[in-house]
Amino acid sequence: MGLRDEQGMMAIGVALMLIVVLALFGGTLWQYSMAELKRVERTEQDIQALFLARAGAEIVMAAWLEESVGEKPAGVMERIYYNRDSGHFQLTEPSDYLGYVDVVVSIIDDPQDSLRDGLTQIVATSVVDGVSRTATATTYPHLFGHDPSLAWYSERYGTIQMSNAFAEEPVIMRTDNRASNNPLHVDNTLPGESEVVTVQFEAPAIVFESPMILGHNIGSGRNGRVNVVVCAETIFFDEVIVSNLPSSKPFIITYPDRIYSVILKVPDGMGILGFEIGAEDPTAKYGTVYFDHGTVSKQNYSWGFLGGISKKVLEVLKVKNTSKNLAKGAFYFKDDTDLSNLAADSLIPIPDSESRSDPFKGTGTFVWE
Amino acid sequence: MKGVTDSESGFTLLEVVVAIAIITMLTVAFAPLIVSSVQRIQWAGTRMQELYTLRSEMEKSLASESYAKTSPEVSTHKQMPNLRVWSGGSNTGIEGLVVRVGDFVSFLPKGRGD
Repeated sequence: MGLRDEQGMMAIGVALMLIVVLALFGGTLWQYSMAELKRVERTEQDIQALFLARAGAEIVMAAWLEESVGEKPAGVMERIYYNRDSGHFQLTEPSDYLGYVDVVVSIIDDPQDSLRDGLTQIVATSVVDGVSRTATATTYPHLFGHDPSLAWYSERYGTIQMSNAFAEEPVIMRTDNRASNNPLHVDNTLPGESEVVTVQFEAPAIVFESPMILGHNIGSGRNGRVNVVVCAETIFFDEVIVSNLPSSKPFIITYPDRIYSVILKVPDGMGILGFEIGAEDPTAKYGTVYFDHGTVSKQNYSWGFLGGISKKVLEVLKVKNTSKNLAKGAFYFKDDTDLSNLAADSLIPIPDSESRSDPFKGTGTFVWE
Repeated sequence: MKGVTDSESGFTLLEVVVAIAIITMLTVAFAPLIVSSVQRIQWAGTRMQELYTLRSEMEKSLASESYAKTSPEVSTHKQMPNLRVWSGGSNTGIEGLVVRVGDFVSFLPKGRGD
């Protein structure tokens, strides 16, 4: 068979075709595999950058949360690097680093959106091998009880201010976590005074992120009966300890009452009616309360012979006529429920509910956008 | 023109052997390229799955400090040294865990996530 005859030509054609087909097939496969490799690499860097950006935001967020009002970080933060060798975040550029994060803290200026206007926003932008990702965290629309506009308590010391207050937004009650011995408490020495004093905090929702131990400083506390009224449709408590130090006359001098309690109230125009939840009183108003902490108690004290105060038993608060602890529970509370003097129908357990409802579950001060 | 199928002449044994040899040579020449490409595609698929698993593990670790501390998937978690990210205020540094899952790294501040 010569090359010039038909069969020879066909053989060359077939061979060439085979070369072309194989080359095309191999080339396409190679290109596809390279594209897949690139995609994997890019995805990996993208996820690395995302978590690095979140790390930067978390670091600045932690700094923001630690600072008191007026001293919070603002503007451009120091660049943060992740050092591969030491496995730490640092501010100086290491020789071998995974990537870096630039974080900016700003106040949102959006007069068109009253819910967002004035909120603090943390924007963290990370770069890993040229791949950039941004993580944004924003404070949710709420006030802190210690913000100057409310001043319900001292952030530093936890002392409750004895004047009524009202807020239109949800309020977070949180004391400075750097200071020790600073639960929310009554600490307002007025010797000789022995009366009923009521202080009311009102908001649509009130979230206690710090314990409220009303008799924390009972030795120097206010004489008389102090009712801290928490007026909200939804209330989330941390640890709650009400205090009971009844008056006594062990010798000649009469020592006064120091009885500090928490009263739960439903704001006007809010709450649900008893018939909706099968309560005994169908017309009574109810709100919802969540006790997140494992302690909801009454601390009993007594006056000593020379005026000293001694602690008596810590009484765990239970739903009246049942053995159900309030701690870690979720309840409908009747308007004007006094925690230190619970009536039988004042708290109705919410069926199948966790101790904290979903809207606030797991949220810190910031939400990711 | 006379069609191929009409031709009565066939291939000699030598022609067939040469043709098979050429086809084999061509296939052998392209085989490594094809095999390595297929292997790369398979590896990419496995790695992608691995990345999503690691990402999910990382999310879980960041959601819970206690999980981050106990999870066998977390290769390292260590206390952060003081880190002063801004010069104002009384901030003396940030404490928390550096959470590392596979090649992913993030940070969980102390007291958060539980």
